[in-house]
Amino acid sequence: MRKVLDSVVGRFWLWTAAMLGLLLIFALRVQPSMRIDTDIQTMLPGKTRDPAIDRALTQYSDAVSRKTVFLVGGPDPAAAKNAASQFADFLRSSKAFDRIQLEFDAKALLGMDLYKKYRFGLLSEKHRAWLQRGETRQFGREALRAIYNPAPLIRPLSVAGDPFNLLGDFVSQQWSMRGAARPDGSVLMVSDAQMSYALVIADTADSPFSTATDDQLLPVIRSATARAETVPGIEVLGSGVLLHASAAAQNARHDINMVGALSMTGILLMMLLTFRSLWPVAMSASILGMGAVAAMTACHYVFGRIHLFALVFGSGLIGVAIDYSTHFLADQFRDPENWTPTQALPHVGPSIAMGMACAVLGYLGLMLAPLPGLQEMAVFSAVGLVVACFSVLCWYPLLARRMRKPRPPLLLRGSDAMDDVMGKIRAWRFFPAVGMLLVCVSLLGLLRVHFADDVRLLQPSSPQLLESERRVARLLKNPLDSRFFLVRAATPQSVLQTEEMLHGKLDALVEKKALASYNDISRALPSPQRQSENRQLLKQTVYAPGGLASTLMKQLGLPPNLIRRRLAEFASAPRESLELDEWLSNPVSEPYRHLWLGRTGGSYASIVSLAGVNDVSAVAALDGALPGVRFVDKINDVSEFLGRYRNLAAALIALAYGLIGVLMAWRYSARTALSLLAVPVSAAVVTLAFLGVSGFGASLFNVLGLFIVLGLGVDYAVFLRESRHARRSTVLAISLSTIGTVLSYGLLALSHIPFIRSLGLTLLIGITLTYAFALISQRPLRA
Amino acid sequence: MNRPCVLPILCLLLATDPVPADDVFAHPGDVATITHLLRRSIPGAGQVEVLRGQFSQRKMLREIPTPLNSVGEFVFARNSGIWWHTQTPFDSEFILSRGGMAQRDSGIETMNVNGDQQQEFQTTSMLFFALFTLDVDTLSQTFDLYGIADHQHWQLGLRPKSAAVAALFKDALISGGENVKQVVLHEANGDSTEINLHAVRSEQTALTVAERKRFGFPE
Repeated sequence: MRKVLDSVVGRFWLWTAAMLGLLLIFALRVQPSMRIDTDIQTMLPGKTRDPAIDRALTQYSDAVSRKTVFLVGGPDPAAAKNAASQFADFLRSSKAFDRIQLEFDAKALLGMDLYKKYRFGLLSEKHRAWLQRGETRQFGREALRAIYNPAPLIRPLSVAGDPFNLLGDFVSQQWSMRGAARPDGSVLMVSDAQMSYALVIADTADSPFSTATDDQLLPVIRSATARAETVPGIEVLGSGVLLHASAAAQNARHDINMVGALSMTGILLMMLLTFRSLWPVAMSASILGMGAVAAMTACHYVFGRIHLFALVFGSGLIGVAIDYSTHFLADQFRDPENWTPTQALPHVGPSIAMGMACAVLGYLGLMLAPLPGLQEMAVFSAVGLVVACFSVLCWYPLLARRMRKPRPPLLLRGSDAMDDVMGKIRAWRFFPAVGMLLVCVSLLGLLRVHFADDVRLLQPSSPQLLESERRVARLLKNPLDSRFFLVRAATPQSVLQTEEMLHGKLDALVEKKALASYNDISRALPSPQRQSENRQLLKQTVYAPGGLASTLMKQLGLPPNLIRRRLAEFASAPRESLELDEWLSNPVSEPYRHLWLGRTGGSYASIVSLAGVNDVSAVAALDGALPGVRFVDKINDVSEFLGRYRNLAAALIALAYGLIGVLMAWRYSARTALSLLAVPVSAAVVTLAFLGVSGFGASLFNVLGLFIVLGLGVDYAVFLRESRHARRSTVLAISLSTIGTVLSYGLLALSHIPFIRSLGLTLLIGITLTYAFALISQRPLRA
Repeated sequence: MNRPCVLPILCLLLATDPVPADDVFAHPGDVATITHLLRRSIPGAGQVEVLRGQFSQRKMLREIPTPLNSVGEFVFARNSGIWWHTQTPFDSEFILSRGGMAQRDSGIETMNVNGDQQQEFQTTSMLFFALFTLDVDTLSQTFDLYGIADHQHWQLGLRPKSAAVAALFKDALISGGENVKQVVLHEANGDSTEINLHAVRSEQTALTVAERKRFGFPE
């Protein structure tokens, strides 16, 4: 074995076998089940540190985000309905959705039969408050007014059957959360001054964040919309997480594909120009390919998925990985006549290995973060770099060819000239003064850096989409907020009781207009305790002997025997309360089921959804106001986490520099280590200063960009330092690397997506500076 | 619970309708035919700005032998809403506007519901308003329309399109000549309401200052 490892040929075949194995695993096991994730939230650790609850919350937000609401509008209801039914049919026939709802079984919305049975335990908040405060006269007077009222009120039982309309009031209080949509035939409709809209709800089977889903869905939605809108006057409005997620994923993929293709072409073209043969191009491409396959395989097995961000960040490694390849190949310009790839190994091998070790050490620093997203980037980068580096070291000695016509190419002359300029700058007598000035300006610039971690700014949606969403919210009048309360307790009954206790506090907020409305299951299903309290309350007040019930019935003219029967109905009404299981299995609970999370871990949990949150801090103040009540604000959490990620990543960069410094000090000397590290450090500082002065907000993604600057900067400095006797070829190698990286990241800076743009801009500036600083600081030894 | 008593009441109602004989629900129509039918008697049907008059209302309640009667005055204003002033057996003003619902008993406000928060009231108020102003377009969104007419009189029948509305509301009959004379509402629970309008004046004039105040407008 030792012999095999020691021989160039042995290493070649060993590595080839390993890589073939990897490709086989990738093709057969990884690729078919690979999942690319675009949801920024999956990169974050869970909110509650309780996996069961996190799962339940994910389940809730999935259920909400799987729903896409469409309003198909037309100049009159008939036109709108007609268009909506064609729209729904088109979506249905695509089979891309799990369920398309146009017709509603409206009776289920009312579901009176179950409630009728338990009606004496079901009181509206208003009735309950009157009776509790002893305002029975008010109660009786209202009942009489309501009976004389000409307008058709919600009165499921006849006046004689339920003179106080207890059931009607209980049911109608649930309607306020239903928004403005009202049934027209079997279709739900809304209208404004000009248009009528029919409601179509589409459910997807998968989370909208898996790319497999939106690949199919968005085109279907677009063609359904286009088809409907060919009819004059018809318009389709959409609202839902799916639309945002799909659009974001599509933009991201488009950008990555475009940038990836352009940068790949640019880099390969550059290699072709330099080495004037397709062979090095093919070799470099296979090195990059192996690195990428290894990185994706590792992420797949470690994390079970590959996040889009890891991919974006990883695609930046093209620049770093290609360095190994160009560094090796450029070595031939050291001795164009007699160069053989085998003898290049002792020259460039150590510097390539050292560069790789430093970069990997830096990226592994990200592993220390307790955040899945950064860990994934770390694994992706480290594995990709190690494999690319070993591929160069094992394959190139046998595969690389000397150029047929070793004439100094254009790029070599260019890099020589660049090196000359940098040398002159270094020798310039004002250099120290200008350098100091630059340091001062940069430090001032650093003070102006502000942070922008708001996830809405980093992953924005198109204005058309937001406008459509706003109009849907305005028409339906119940814009559901992404924030909600989580209620947990030991039993289902106590969950309901906690919700009821929360109602008082929420009602106060509604009163103060801090909140438009809220919804939870205890609105439609009071806790058993509350139901028995209600029965007790009625017994002591309205149905007490000689109480309001008999008075009112007498006043209305009910015959005495009927009055006796009604009083007996109350007295003999079931003592049992409507329980959760019976309610859940009845269609009446359908509008509420997503709010019941069921048994999670050791407890039961439910959700209180909110609509129209105007004063977030007032609502958030109820977090923990009752035992088991949590306020969940996922968007804010994501923003907060991005901020924390940023600080953590910044701290990890410092740590990475420290580790690399130690490694360098061990190999060289402390002094050399400092001068080598000065290159990426100063590039990073100046880049940040630029962001500060030019007013770009810094976020996690800038810090991640600085990680790549670190990797490349260390490479450049180490290569120049290690190959001081082959300066020309090394300068060529790092010039090629810089051009390559700037090509790829210069283009990323043009992306639509702010976080990709941040990364690109940071690298564009950072790498250019690194290149210049490396050439300035690492001068050749004087002869 | 026994249902048979509904039928006699229905028969009674149909018998007292201004248009005799034929059952209106045998004559379905659409927005255009119903509007045409109404405009033969009322050229401005559905375009009334302000409607003033007096009403007498009879509530025929299931299982209760004697109807509940009430009398009062009303104003319908297209852009403001409904003011329904019951004078006997008690004094109570009921205001339904596009902005919400309010009640004043002997001049004291006892209820005020903001329409923005309570969508169902808005829907109810729009429909109720449409019944009396013969806004066929609005009615057709919630109801299937039926109509018959001779040279003097017309009758309009409304049946809910959706099961949800039908679970509460069975049907409605509106009849009249030059003006709306009678509205009969049958609830699904067996109760019904008969409203007769008298001395109805359909006018293009704006609301008086006092009327505007009733609807909650600043003076």
